[in-house]
Amino acid sequence: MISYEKFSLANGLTIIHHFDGDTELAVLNILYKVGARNESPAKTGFAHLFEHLMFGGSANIPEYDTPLQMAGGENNAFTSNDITNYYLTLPAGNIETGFWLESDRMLQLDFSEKSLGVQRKVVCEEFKQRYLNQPYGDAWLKLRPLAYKQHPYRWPTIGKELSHIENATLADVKDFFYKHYGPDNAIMVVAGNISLEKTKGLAEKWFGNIPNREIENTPIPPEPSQTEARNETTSGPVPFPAIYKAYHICKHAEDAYPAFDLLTDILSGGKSSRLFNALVKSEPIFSDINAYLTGDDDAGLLVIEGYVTDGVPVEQAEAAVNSFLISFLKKGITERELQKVKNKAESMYVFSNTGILNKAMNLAFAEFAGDVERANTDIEKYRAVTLENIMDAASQCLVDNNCSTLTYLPQ
Amino acid sequence: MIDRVTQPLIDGRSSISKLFFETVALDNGMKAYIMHSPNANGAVKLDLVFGAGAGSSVQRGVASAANSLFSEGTKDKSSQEIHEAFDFYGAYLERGCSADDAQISLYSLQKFLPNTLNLLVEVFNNAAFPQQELELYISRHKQKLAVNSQKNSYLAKRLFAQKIWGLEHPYGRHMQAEDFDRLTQSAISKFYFQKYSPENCYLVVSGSLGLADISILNQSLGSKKWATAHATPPANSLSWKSSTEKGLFVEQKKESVQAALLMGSQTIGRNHPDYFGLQVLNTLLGGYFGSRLMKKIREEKGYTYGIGSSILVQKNGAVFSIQTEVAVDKWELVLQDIRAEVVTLQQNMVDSAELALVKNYMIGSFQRSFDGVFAKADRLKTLIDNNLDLDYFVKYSNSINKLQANDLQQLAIKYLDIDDFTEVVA
Repeated sequence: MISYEKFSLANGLTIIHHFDGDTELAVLNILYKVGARNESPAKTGFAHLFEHLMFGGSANIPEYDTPLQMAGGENNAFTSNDITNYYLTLPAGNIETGFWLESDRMLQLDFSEKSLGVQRKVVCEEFKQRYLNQPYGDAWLKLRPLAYKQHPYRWPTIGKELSHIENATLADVKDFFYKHYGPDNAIMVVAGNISLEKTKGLAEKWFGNIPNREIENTPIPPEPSQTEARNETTSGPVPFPAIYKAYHICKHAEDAYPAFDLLTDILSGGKSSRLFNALVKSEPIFSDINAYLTGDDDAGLLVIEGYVTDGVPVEQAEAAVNSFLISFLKKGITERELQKVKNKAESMYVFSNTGILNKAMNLAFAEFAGDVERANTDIEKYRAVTLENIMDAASQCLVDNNCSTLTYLPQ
Repeated sequence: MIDRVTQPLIDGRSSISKLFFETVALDNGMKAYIMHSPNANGAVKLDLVFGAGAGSSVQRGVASAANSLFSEGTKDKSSQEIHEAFDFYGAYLERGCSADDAQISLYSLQKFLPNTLNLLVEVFNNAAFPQQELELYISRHKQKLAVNSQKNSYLAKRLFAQKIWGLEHPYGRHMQAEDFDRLTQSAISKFYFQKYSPENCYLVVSGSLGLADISILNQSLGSKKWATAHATPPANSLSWKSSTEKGLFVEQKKESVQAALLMGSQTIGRNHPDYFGLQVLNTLLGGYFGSRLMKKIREEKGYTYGIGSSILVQKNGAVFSIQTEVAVDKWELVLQDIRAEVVTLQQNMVDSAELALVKNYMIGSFQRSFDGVFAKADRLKTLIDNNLDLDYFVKYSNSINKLQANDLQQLAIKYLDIDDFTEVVA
């Protein structure tokens, strides 16, 4: 259980406070409800590029990092398809520096041509380092547009192509800021060795006079149902073939989600899992095979990702996955298997709530998912999942006409 | 109106949390460090650290294989049955094998601790290393090696270690496909039963722990039965020769869009009086986001997504290195820029503002590394592994605070000699 208090300011900023007297640190986590899904198809990669620019100085503070480091702090941020999340930790006595820095960049960024010029280059190198210069690194650049035809999840956070980043202008940057960054589109979590009273005082002092920007988050139309199997083959400098199979599932906030999550644990959570035992051990067709959820806010994907064993024809590998799934759907799972993945989920939950930064992020994500209390109650939904729930989820999802298959071959 | 231009006052006090723990000798002589926390919500972590790293075997790959395969079958239980049992209790086994030691960690819910501990001991005592599990291990690891060999960062790291330590040294050698083929059940089993003994191990237990748990710990991991299952005592450690090659080595792959760059030299370890100062110098040059290298190579020129420097301390030697990945046509420029930054540290004194910044950042970062009971347990392991006193961390922060600009310049001259560097590009 994480205890917390939730309140908001008149300008719409949601604030969640969590006290932990065991640490000498305090955390400030700000989640902005903007991610790659809010980008225009002609300007992808923007939410992420923008995250970089947020460190280039703000209206009254020329440099973000230096004063934070001077106060003994550290920070970072990440962008997903749904959100951009900024976090910093400081010795608790210096937390006001965090409020000062975060409120100033929420108030107004220093829109600088120089910062944009440099960060365009940095992000291009990041694109290369993480996606182009890694074996199989561009698989998701190909898989997304295969699985999504309408929804903006069809491009990754880094962007569809390098040119979108290279062509970003300062006008684009300003436009993006005022459209998405503001107190009414943010969730702030203050956690650690800091009292609720102090949090309220500092929040009002530093964030209270930032205007509400009347940000409208129009819901994104859902991806139309997939009606037939999709297949694509690609190649790159890799030593062995790989197969990616992506199946559409429900939204993160829906009741059916925990069943999908537990299903992937049964399929590939650890060395006692189904896929590993069937396709790596009993028949060594894959050197590794995993199943996981993308965990997106809008309807996401269940992905099976397998690296084919040296010498096994890729057609045979794909046929083996398909016949595994048919047999899995027919035979079902056992009560003990279900109890096993529930115990695993409980363990994950307990271990993921150690450390002040983890707790702060869990609270922010839960609030983003609709209700901060979910940080404490979601585990109940996992405990309540039945055998039927899992097999319903599996039989509805793991079918050919819901599947996009990307086959990755050595060049 | 509030003053948004001036930074709020910084509280100059910084305190390092004390490590509270108990030391217990278990019945079989194993030394256990117990770190209890009332706020771990029923989570327990056990770290068993064995003197069974790669450097304790002449044959390449045996130590890692033992560390991976001990849990893959006993005379009564198959690999799948063992993993199913751990998984059923929501437990995770994590392992690691460095050149110096081998580690096995168990993450368990407190309520299942009797089950998971007994299972762990059963597996420890009866490890059978089935032939088919070894074959699977070999084929999967050969494939992993082939994939890694496509990564510039992996190739650069491997080449650098080789040039710094030599191919004969456990810090410098690496696995090749044929080394995997040479692994045998008997060699792995022999190594395991010699090295994975209570006498050759220490234990750190952290998280939610009551008196009953300690007693279960003693009955399971502390049992004398375990001691007799293994040969005692461990053989003396092997001695290794190192040889360093200096200069620039370039091994580039054709199709790469980026090149990985690594440069540095052997340096001093934690027990040396200059170590704290060298850490400050390292942080200033490339150890944090505001470092000179990040500012210059990333934030000013946009040549890279990231650049950093670090000091890797191992039992028999330490290495200072600078690492980055840059566009293929930029590595020569970047190499020049890095060298220039190092020379600047030798020629000019750091100004007081930058020095204060680095010190404050380091003290804060140090405090962060004590956040939560599992992090504290990791700090304790640092002390144990390096034979350091309990007041080491206090000394560390005091020494950082005392350091002057002049000291840093002297350290740069003494320890960061670019003519002494090994530089690799892959």
